Amino acid sequence: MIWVAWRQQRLTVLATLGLGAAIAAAMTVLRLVATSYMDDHGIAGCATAGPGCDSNALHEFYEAFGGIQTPLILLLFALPPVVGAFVGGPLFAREIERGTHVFALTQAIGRTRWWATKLAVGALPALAGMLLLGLVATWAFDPLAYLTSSPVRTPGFETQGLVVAAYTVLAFAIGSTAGLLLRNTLGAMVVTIVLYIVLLVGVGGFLREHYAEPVGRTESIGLDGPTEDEQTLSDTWQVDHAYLDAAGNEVEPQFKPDCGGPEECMRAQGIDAFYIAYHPADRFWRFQLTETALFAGVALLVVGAGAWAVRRVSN
Amino acid sequence: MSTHALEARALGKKYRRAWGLRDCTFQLPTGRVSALVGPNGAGKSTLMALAAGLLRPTEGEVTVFGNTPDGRGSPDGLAFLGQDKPLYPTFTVAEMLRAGRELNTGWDQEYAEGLIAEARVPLNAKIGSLSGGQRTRVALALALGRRPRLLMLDEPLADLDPLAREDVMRTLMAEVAETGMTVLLSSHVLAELEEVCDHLVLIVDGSVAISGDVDELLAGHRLLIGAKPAGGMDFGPHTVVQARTTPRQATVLLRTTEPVDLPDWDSDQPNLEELVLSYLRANGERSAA
Repeated sequence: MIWVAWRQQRLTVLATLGLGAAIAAAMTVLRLVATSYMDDHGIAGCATAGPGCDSNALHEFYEAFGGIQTPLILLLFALPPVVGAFVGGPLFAREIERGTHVFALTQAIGRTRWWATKLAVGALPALAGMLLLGLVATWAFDPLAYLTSSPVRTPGFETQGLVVAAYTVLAFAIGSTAGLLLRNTLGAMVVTIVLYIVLLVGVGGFLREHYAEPVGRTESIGLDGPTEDEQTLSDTWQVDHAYLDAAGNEVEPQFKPDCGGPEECMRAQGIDAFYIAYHPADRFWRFQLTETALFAGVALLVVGAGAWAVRRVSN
Repeated sequence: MSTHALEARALGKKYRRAWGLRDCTFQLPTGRVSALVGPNGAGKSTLMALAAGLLRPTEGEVTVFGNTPDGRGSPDGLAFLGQDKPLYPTFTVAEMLRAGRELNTGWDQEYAEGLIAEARVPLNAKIGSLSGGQRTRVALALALGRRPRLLMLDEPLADLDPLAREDVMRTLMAEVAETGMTVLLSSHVLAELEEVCDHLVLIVDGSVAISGDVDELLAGHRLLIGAKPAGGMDFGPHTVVQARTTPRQATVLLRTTEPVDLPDWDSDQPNLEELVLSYLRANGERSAA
């Protein structure tokens, strides 16, 4: 059965791996060119502007490389749902559309083995490829942290590390199971992309910040210029902020005309301090593991639904 | 060990809106070539899908050599060829044979290759590029390569031209003669099967109208032709299957094993087509009433 599944899917599997390899190659070139540029302009290893990291030089670096990195990030964003829709979606739906599943299901091999083998032959190369791609992205984008702002923030988080593979596995699971249920390739592809977007927006917008208790920090207002603290904060993911009075109660700032400069204005309203809550950049791997486990768990449920659905497939 | 290749007991399958097959009971003895006949939509494909394990029965049961299809692959000894002759269109013929080998135990590669060679289909031809006749021959080779004890073919001739039909039937019958396997062929055109079948299962409106050995079925019926009687028609102890009249003439099919002694009528044994048509008409009248 493995040979049959491979023979059926080899084109899509190889195309997926080829696309992944091309993106990995592009990222490798980007890293090499960017690090050599940073060395030449004295900003090697700079993630934020500050002492030893000239802000003008960093800005020029951004101008030169931001436009090259952005399409790569977009590709990495799009790849998981595309693989899910174009490899997972037709996996069973196209067979059912063409009626060839009647051939497979009336041979000596059982339908569960047919389903599991096709799933494995389609998903495992994609999983391995995307895992590799995510790790290459982590390595390639690491010196470019100034461009992506923070690895724990969108879009740095979604395009690096383990989650690229986790997203792909879930999208693939949705595509294949939707194909079994809908018996329609196009429908399965649409369902995959829509569900994927809903999940990713939901997780990124509402769930991810709760993976850990954010770090809280209160600073009194009125300090001139960026402090050293603020520099380290610039590669974090800020999830909450508030204005506090001297007693630590939250104050809703009113923007009134004629109250003077911003600081005077705030003091006049009793604002004494500024509070922020954030996730530091070094939570990257912890958040990656949490999100990978979450998506893998959901994928398992969807695959389970597929195992149930394949028993209902008829002629 | 069951002496029946296929047995259905009160078998029924309900689809979302209506029953596709209901209260279907019959046996298929081993070593026979059976025709599964019925109008389009009568439930022939449903019956075959149930036997092949593609569908699960809503009620009753079907067994193949005593085994109930459980959806874990084809029941032991059965090879089924679906109506559309499903084959992977991007595979070559050789790759399709390899798929047959990979997906089956007891695959006879030499035999399957021999059948392909006989059909003069090149092994490196893509399935998608084959003609209907060639495609059917390849599908048949794939089914026969499994060395089945029961071969079940759903409308195998439906999309073939007359020459290809003859070709496919000749191949099939040669293999049947050689191996002695049981065959169940479905068709909505009886004439296609009349010459080759010695057993009949007639399905009408989702249930079995008659089933049995063709010679016995014919011997168990009489076809009467005579002048249309003025009053009602009385045939004594014999059961009327169907009667039709023109202004002057009446034709009546009786089911009886007794000798018929009715002097007003010409009595003869019906041929298979007359028998089947009478049952189909009888059903049409019942559902119209």
